[in-house]
Amino acid sequence: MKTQTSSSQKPNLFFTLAIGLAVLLFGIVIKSALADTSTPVSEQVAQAESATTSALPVPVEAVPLAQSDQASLTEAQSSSAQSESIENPATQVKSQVANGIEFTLSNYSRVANHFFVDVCYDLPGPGVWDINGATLLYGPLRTSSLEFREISLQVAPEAGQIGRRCANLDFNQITTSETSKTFTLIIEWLGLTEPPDGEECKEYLARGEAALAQHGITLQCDSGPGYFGMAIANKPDQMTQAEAEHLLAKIVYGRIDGPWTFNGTVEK
Amino acid sequence: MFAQISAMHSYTRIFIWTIAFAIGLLSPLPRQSETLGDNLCYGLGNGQLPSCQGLNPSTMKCDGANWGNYYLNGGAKLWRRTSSECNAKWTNIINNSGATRYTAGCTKYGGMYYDQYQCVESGGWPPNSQPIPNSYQVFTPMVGLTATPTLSCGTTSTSIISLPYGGSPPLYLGCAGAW
Repeated sequence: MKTQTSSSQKPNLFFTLAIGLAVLLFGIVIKSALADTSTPVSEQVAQAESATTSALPVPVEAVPLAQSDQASLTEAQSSSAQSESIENPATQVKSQVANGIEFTLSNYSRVANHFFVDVCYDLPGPGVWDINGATLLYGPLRTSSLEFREISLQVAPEAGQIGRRCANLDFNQITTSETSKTFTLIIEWLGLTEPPDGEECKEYLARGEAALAQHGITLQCDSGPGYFGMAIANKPDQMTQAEAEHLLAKIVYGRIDGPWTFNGTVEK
Repeated sequence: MFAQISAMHSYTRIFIWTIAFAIGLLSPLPRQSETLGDNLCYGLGNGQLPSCQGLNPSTMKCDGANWGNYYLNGGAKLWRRTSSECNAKWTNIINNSGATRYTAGCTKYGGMYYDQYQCVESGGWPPNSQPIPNSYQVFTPMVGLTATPTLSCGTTSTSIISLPYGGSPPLYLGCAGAW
């Protein structure tokens, strides 16, 4: 009798334990799924640290260069210039337009070995452009070393519209004891922001592969010891390397040349 | 014992299953940043993953945050990179000069004068360096621990750049300020 009972009850027992184990695993899965949807504490701490060290750490994503509509750009520029005057109540706001892009300059000052200046500029399409070259002439000093700290960013929602970006430029290599109050700031050129780490090749190809193909140019991702970049794999024989690189810079890197030149005086 | 367990009432079984479910919910999960992410190193090492110090961020699958701030110096454009997943920092340097140039940079750290460094130069350390075309980029090896104060320094040149590159306080020549 006892033997019969044990043999018929063992499967029942194993069934109970198996269900119990399955339910346990189900609980772990549910918890994992919930954990994936929340930001880890370590990440929140890192973000908070970053927020305290950056002026306004807005993550930016570069998108393909779009053809700007000159008419709407001019119209939008005039309206944005008006709003700029209101948003920046500095008494010495200066404005320059070159290549369809309006720059404004304000709040410039010299502090120890730093020369600070705030700039705002148009973004001629649904992308984000960086200032990739600028030179400050201050007394006998000529420097192109600067830190770009983003203050605000408004990306154009679609092609044909413009966005606006403001930043503080910190020229931190003012090594002269020069007491000159006059300066000249030359913003030389803009370029689209670089893609996120690890996505350079994919994004650069997405930006310009089709457009460059129309010119007979093909690109390839190139890498070697400690470096990587985009290389021109093929180009038409009648096209010079310089011409091909000019197209690459314009289409893939979104290069827009200035210059935007400002003269001013600072109170030391 | 089998007989006793098997004979228990059905809602006793349901109770056991509920307890098992609760244990599942309350069981500690491994920290994603240390064991479940793609990263292959963490800070200065944590027992499960090796130290990131001096390693290549790309090889170790450390993704750097891409903020809107950067530094321009000597035809180079520099970004500071921080990975909370890897608990590490490094510097990206792009040749922004418009020409083919040697491109180098360092992430400096340690003490008042940042006298330790992780450096890179295109093609390899001198004398093996090679110039790279415009818009090509390099990145320094990582410094473990995001809390470590660091300087990001970099430049381009028509000749080989001596390493380590970059100044110290108070002028920080060729470097973005401490971060």
